[in-house]
Amino acid sequence: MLGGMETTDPELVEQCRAGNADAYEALIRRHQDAVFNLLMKLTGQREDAADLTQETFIRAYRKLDAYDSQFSFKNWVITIGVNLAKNRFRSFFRRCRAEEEAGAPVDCAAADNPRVEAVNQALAQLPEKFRVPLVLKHMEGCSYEEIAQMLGIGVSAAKMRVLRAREEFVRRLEP
Amino acid sequence: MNTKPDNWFDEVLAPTRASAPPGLAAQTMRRLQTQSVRRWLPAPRQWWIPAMAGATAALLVVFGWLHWHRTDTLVNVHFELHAPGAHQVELVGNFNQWQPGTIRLTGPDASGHWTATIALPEGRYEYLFLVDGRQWVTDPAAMVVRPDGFGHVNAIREVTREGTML
Repeated sequence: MLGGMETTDPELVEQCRAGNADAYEALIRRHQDAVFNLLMKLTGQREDAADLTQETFIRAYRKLDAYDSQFSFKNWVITIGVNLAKNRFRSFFRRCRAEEEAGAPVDCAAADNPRVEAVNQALAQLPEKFRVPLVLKHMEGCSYEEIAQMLGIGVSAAKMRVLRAREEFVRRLEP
Repeated sequence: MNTKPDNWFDEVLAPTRASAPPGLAAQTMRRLQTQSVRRWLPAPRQWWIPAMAGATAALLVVFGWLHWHRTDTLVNVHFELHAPGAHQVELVGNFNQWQPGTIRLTGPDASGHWTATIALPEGRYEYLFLVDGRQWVTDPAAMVVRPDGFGHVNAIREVTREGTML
């Protein structure tokens, strides 16, 4: 905290670049839930998501000099996490797709609440290319422009994926 | 056809939000510190590895010094971008540790081109143009490019004593 004002992400990044490790820990604490949540939705496994979240922040630290403070640090680090998960879990995603095609439910985080479990199941059954934009839009509050930038696609493609994701999600949740 | 309003999805998905396990930040910092230390400290009974590496490095320094004094291996490399509306164009790449603010292109000329010529040792370089401090632009003249995994596509240039290859 600086004079009652919360230190901004770009300020923390500058402090990290100057060698202040505590500043980086503050950045992790600030954004770990967003990264973990998305990776949890991608992998469906708590341990994998936790490991990937750590790996994401380690990679981000190593690439910190390349971070442009005009862009959101949270979005930047989420992008690293998504790319990392895609590379690490290509086989996992392939298996998910095969199971989706076969009509089998995809394993995802078990929840005590049946409604939450049903939502998780519906989300897990979405193809990854729809699941990620849906989570970014409705859980992280990203704009279509931000989603497009994070996924390396056009803005119209981002809109289309969110629209399709909503339709597929509703169809699976309320058949 | 979906008829649900946008906020319906916000509300339905919100209860599924997963929180990072306690201690994740501290664990990550420990891993970072361990890896930083590990980079320099060899495992027990493996001191011969840095010893050999040190000897090799010393030999390379000697040969490099001899080579450097025989021939000048720096090559002038020309960079150019057509950006008539830009106020500032910078060159950022692994030759300046991706640090903006170190190499500024001159321009624009009458045709809207920005140029810079820098002396580089032989090697393979990845770079981007940074226009007006915010827009990353891949060199349109680059024949070889590589996505960097963060939404940008780096241009690649091979620099040899005979010249450069886009």
